[in-house]
Amino acid sequence: MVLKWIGAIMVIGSSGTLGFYMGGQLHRRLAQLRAVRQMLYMLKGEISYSAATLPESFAHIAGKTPQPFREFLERVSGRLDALEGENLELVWQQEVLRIRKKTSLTGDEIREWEGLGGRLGYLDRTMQLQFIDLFLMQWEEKIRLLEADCAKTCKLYQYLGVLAGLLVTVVLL
Amino acid sequence: MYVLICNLPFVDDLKAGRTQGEILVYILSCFQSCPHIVKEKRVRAMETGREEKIWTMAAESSQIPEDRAGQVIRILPRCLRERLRYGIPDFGRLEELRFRTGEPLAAVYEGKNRWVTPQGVLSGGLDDPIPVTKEMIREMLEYISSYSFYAFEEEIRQGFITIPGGHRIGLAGRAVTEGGAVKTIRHISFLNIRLSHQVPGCAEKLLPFLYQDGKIRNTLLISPPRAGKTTLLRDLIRLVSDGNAYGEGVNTGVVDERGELAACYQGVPQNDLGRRTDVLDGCPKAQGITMLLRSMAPAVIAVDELGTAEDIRAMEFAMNSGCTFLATAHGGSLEEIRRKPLFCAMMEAGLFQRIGVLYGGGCESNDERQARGILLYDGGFREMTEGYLWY
Repeated sequence: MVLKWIGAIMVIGSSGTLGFYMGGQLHRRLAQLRAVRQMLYMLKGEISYSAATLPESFAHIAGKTPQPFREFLERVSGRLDALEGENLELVWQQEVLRIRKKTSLTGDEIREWEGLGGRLGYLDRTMQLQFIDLFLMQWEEKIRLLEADCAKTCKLYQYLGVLAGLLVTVVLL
Repeated sequence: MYVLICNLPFVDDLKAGRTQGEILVYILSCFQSCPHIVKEKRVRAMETGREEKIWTMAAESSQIPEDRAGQVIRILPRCLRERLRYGIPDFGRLEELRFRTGEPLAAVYEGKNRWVTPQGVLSGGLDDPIPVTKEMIREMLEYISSYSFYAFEEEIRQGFITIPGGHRIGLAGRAVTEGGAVKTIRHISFLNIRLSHQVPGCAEKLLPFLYQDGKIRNTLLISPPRAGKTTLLRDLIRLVSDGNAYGEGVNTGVVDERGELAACYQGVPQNDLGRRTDVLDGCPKAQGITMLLRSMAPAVIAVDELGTAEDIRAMEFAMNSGCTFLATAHGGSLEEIRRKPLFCAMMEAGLFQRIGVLYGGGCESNDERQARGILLYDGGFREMTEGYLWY
């Protein structure tokens, strides 16, 4: 009997933890979406105010950006600065893929983030800023939607986790 | 090893006149820049048990040095990097590399025009030149602008970009104008890499004539294009700023409108202008002189190529404020400058106490280029040197 109770607590505990983890992931995703937004605002500032080059801007912004995006910016900046004959779009894509496991962004968001690299660098300043504005607008929409749903969905994940554990326990007992 | 070599282009040509080591290093570096080839070759190399050695050498050979050669190689298209790195005997003697879309890649080496062969060797004939493609130009523009075209709008408008090392990349293509002024250049199809040229010590012989009572006099250097007045002025600034046998070092301000004197990259001078020199880079001369005067309190101000009435007015104002001027102007002779309406009044007023007329412009060969001389006059147009002073 004791073993049954221990098993039940473990099942409920682990499924509940999974629920809380999923909820936490949602919060992390929101925080990372905001970090990307902040990063782009800073990039806009670097471009419009000081007309800094991309490697220079990334290096400046990296210090004010949380991980894993700091690492991303530092690596992109370093690789571009080295002028080893690499293509910006490719460097950007490779580095996005490198950190994707460390982020909580969805596949679609990662793809959009990946695509940004192909739109940087070759335009004049006005067009460059307009493009970043457009990207930011779409990103803001994602943040807005997630903010609206986050609390609800987070609770849902937590309840589902605990309830799923209870269900399994009842079925098994 | 034969398996590794056989599929690569240019190897037969490379073999001519190259040591085996050089060929091997070249081939290995080609492998590294082509991952798909590397993967295939790596498997084969493993069979021979030499993989580790090969990869070590490839990694070493692909590292671009930080010297003058490296500064230029970094902005070249990948397909040319290794060829020119090993093909050009001495980057110190390379003066220009000219890329014209659809035309052979040209170089000026030791003052002589050369074509670049597919092996990266400089040749006098047009038998087998390497053609410049649009893709090469596009790739180079990415590297030159640090992947940030928007950051060089002003430079593009002016027609050149300065890269680390002070080398200047001239750009030409279709100019887009707005209200009569050039807004930008589109379809850039011509690039000219002009390697920076410093000659430390070239102005030393002039110093005894330019100083009086331990103080440098207002000096104007006159010459036609390519006679070396900017090089001479650059060294003069360094000597005045650092101090020399005829006078102590003084705070020197440089208004480098075209970026030719200091060749600043991200605000840092790439040429040696001395320890007490402040540089206002990319600023119009007239504005820059006033700004320097107010903010940096220079004892000496240097400007290259005086050309407008505003420049002269700003200079006169600064001279009246106690600054000494080192300047250059385009001209063939003292008489020619004195006849120009812009300079006439200034010259007759004796604003410049030393006027140097340079000899040696437009020479083709390096030997002639080295034979440069200057005639120095005082403010009353009396010759100070007995004939040319060779430097």
